[in-house]
Amino acid sequence: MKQLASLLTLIPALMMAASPAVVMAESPADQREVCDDDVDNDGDGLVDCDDIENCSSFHTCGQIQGGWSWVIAVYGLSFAGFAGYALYITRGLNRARKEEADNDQAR
Amino acid sequence: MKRAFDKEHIIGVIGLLMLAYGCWKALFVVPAMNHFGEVGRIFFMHVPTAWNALLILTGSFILAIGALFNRKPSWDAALTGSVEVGVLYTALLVVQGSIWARPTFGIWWTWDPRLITAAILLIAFAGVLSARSFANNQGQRLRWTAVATIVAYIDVPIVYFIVKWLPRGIHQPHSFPSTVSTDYHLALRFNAIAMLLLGIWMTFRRARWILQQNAATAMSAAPGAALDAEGRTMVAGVEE
Amino acid sequence: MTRPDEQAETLPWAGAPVASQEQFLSPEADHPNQGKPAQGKGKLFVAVALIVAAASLTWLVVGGVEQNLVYYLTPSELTAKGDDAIGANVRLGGMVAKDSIRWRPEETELKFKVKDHGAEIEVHASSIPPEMFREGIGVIVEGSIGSDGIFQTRRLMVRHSNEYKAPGDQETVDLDYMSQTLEDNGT
Repeated sequence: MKQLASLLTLIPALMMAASPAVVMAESPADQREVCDDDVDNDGDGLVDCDDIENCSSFHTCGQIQGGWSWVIAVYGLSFAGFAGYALYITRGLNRARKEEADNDQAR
Repeated sequence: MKRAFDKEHIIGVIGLLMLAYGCWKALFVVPAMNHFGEVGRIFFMHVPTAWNALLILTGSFILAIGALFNRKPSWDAALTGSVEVGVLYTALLVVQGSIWARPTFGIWWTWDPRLITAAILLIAFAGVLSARSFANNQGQRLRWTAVATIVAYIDVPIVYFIVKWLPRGIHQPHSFPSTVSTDYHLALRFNAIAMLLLGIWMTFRRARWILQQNAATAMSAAPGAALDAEGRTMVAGVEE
Repeated sequence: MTRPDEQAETLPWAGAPVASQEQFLSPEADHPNQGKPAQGKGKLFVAVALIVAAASLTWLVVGGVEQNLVYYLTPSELTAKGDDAIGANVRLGGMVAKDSIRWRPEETELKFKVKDHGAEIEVHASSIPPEMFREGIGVIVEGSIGSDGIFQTRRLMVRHSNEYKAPGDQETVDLDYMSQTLEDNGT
């Protein structure tokens, strides 16, 4: 029981010991590139939008994000257009041929 | 009765395979475009559609002139088929452009010279098809279709050159091999040739349908032919 | 009796029988369903369709093309108009000047400068810009210029160049494709 209590008092001490590491891990995040301040915040030699790695998703850096739905809309619509017309003329031709065959039979 | 294999299916199958390959390249293989990202993949559908819409309507123009001279039903049929395919391509072109304009230009539509002339192209050739339905007989129908096609064709060079004549607009000027990444050339060319072949296939199939109807026409107009109660052709002399 | 398809014409690529040319061109020869002139509702429909087509064509030509022969003014042209331009509804087109973009997403407030070779105009917008919007790209803005020289816009459009490049390609920088006129369009 006593051992357990000492173990419990140890926990805060352990956390204290660990905390500087947490601060260390967070510090580079403070120097993340800000994409519209004309300053090379993260020190990689690239300023603002030129820092493609960090700023490509920033709104005024001129890079469209995602957008597959537009692509699917255009391709889907075009395929539907081709297929729909192909189906229309194929069925029409088959109907006309069947009519002719029926007429031949009637004679 | 077994029907002979229609040779235009060879063109159709090649077109379909090329379109499948071109679209697979365009959608899944080539890298996303600078600035456009994935949305840039619309390029591989929109540009070939535009080329082929103008190309197929140029074919209609040639067929129209020929049909006025030779007055052949087969030319009338091919002319009508090609105008229909041209209208289909132009309609797709305008809608594709509108969808692509939303994420890139930021708008669905604006009164830019290229966009206006393309819309006029669609309306003009839809007008050719509706003029056809006004004609009283097949000879008149051929004449009207051909003349209307030739008149409507005036807009085709205008659509093509307007970006040069009126460079101020929202639509891009012509792109050249030098302004398009070499990574993109193959998919673009495959899709362009594929859509041309599919357009030719559709024109042929439509023409066949029209000629099949002509055959029925000739049957009902044949000497001694009469219509039975259901409106089907009956030939006198066969009945007894 | 000769059956019509015995003297039928065939397509160059086909073998199927079709009407002979004489029958095709004779006024009586007509398909019982397809060829007859549109009657009643059908004729009305076609007439309405033609009228709508003609009206929209006229509208496009008169309302669209005429107003849009000069689709946008360049900053130099708008500046040259001086006080006459104040308050008038126009389109302004030019390149987005370098280091001029100030975008505040919280207030949806966008400020930037549009320039050509000779002039630069401050533009204020209160909408989310298209994702293509960036320094050095062409833009067309609809709105009017105030007496303070600031162009207020309600509609911002991006006009990109005809370059479609992949990552790693050489891109042309500092293009000015927005101030082209009829005379120098050959470039």
